[in-house]
Amino acid sequence: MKISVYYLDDEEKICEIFAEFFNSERVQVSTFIDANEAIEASNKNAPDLFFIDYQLSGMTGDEVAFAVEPSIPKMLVTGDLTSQCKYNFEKVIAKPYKFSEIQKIIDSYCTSKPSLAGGGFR
Amino acid sequence: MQNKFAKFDDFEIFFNMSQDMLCIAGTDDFFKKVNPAFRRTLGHSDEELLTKPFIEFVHPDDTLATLDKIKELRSGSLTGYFENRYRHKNGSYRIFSWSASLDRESGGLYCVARDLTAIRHTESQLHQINKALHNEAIVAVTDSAGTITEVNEKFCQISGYSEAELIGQNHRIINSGVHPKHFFQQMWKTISAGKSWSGMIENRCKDGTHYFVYTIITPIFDAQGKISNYFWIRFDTTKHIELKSIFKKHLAILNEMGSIAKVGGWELDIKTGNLTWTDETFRIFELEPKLGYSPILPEGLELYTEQSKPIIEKAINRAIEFGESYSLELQAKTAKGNVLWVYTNGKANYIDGKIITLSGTIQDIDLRKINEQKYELERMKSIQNAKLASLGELSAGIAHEINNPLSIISGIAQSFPKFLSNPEKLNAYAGEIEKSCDRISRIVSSLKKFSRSSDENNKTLHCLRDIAHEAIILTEAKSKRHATAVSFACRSDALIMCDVGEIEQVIINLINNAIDAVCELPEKWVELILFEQGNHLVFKVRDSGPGISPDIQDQLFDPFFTTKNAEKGTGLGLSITKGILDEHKATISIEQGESNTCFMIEFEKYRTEKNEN
Repeated sequence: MKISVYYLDDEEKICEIFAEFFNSERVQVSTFIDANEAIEASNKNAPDLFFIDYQLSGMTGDEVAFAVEPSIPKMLVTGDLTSQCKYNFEKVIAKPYKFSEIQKIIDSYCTSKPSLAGGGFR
Repeated sequence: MQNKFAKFDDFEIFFNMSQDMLCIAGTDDFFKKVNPAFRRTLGHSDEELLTKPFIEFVHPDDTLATLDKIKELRSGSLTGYFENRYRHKNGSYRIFSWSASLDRESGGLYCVARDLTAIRHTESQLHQINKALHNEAIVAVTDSAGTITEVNEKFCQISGYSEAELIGQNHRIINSGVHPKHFFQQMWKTISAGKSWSGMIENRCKDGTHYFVYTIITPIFDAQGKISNYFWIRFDTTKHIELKSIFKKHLAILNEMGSIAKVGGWELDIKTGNLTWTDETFRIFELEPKLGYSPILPEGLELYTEQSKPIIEKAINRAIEFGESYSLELQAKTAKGNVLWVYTNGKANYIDGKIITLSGTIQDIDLRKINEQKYELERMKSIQNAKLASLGELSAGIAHEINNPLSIISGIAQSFPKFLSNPEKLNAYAGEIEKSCDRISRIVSSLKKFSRSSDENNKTLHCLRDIAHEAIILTEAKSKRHATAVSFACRSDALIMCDVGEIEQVIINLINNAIDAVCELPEKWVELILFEQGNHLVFKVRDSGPGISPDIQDQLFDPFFTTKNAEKGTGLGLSITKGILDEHKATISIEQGESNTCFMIEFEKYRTEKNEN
């Protein structure tokens, strides 16, 4: 079963490059540049992993985090580590990031997650 | 024994040598004999005197009286001295005093005449002087004991006593009691010793009021050389004394005012070079005000520092020569060696078209000047601090603005192996790298420009449009974060003379304020507008807000005024913004009649950038 990864960043090119690199047989990357769209999609189909950029147009990353399902593992991606963040993210990743670091996170999720037998999408 | 002088010839000698005039007048009213004194006194020759009736020589006004006298004499009565006027050859008249006797035998009149012209003239002068004194001055005569024997009308007027009340009184009657005993003792000592005395005396009227008189007392001697009377001549100086007292009071008030306001006055007499100073001027220069001491111009000039002295000298010379007024702030060097800032001004004063004096004020502005300098220092510090704070706020956005392009470059680099074989992808991504690099360069360059420290008074020519563009770049992160569109309608590339860092600071502040102001509104935008209007360059920052209420508008530019809470520091208060613009001779205001909030700045245009092509 493919893992669903959401990537939210208002910089379109960054989303494009992320999707380009991480889309594979095991991983389905969905990218969003608009926070509200991302929240809506998440509520419809909760992703397995949610990467959220802090500086978005219209709202901050932790506002998005509060708006979606609490059980979804969320990673904060930020260009400014000193920014005050209210939400307790699983991980905080600094921009620019190493793809290997992202890969490790995705892999660790895959191993910790038991394979889904049947059932449907959550 | 024969008296050797009693010869008949001696009488002849008497007759010829006498200074007095001797003559014999006949019954026919002619002179029969005249002595040489006649000729000498009247200038007529003997012949002239003897061939005319003597009445012809008499003054027309005296002829009747003279004829009467002759009749009297002829009738035998003894007459005393008789005066009339006789005509000199030159037409003038001499006053003669006659004594005459009738010789019954011959009927001739034997007369002696004395020329009293000079004496009468002196007497007349004396009389006229006396009259003038009695009319114009206050006159009194006392005996040697000080008892009043005579007073004139003016004495009665000023003292309030009638003549009857004064005559017979001792002079003490008008004493005011003001003068100490020894004052009068000294006076009496002087006049009783035969010397005249003069001085100012305060006397008392009948009704108790006081008056001031300048008094001259002179002793009058009798024939034995003893003092018979004292003559008192006085002049009323009460008004003069009153004016002097008013003048003194005014001077005191002037000095008091000067001392409170710390303003001193000065006057220069151009002819003598003497300076007149008020007390405060002395104080400013740390000199003791000495009564009657008048410094001279060179001394006054010495009280300035080496740098200031030539400036004040030049100003004074120009004022003397051309009547040019001056107004200067200089450094004075007091008598004690202290240096302090003073403000001094001067103007020329004319009498009949000529410059006679210069006058002006001098004020201690040391405290003000020092505070001004302190304020300027603080202001520069504030601007620097505000800039740093501003930088702080910008840095979050800037970090974001740099890290995103960096992420793109980093991402592409890390994905590189994946699309090496895809030339299309390669090209596209190469382009992206370039774009990202440009983005980073732009931010770095804007940052550099912004972080430049503000040099004092270092204004250069800049295009306001370019400054606005830089400001937009630096605030891009914030505007994006708040999803607020910032647009720029630019219709001018005109230049202004300015400190570019400070003006950029001002624009950034206005944009940030606008973004903050609209962040809760449904419609969020900020519009920058730049256009020319006559000699001015107009820059507006408009936002989608509903405007600022009129009662806040007045306070908007006051220091410490804010509608934001303490945490949301914007870095640069509107009061500092206004201060910067004031210094650039630009104005900032809220545009009236606009439904949206609109700040309007007007700069003086320097000149339009010439378009090369």
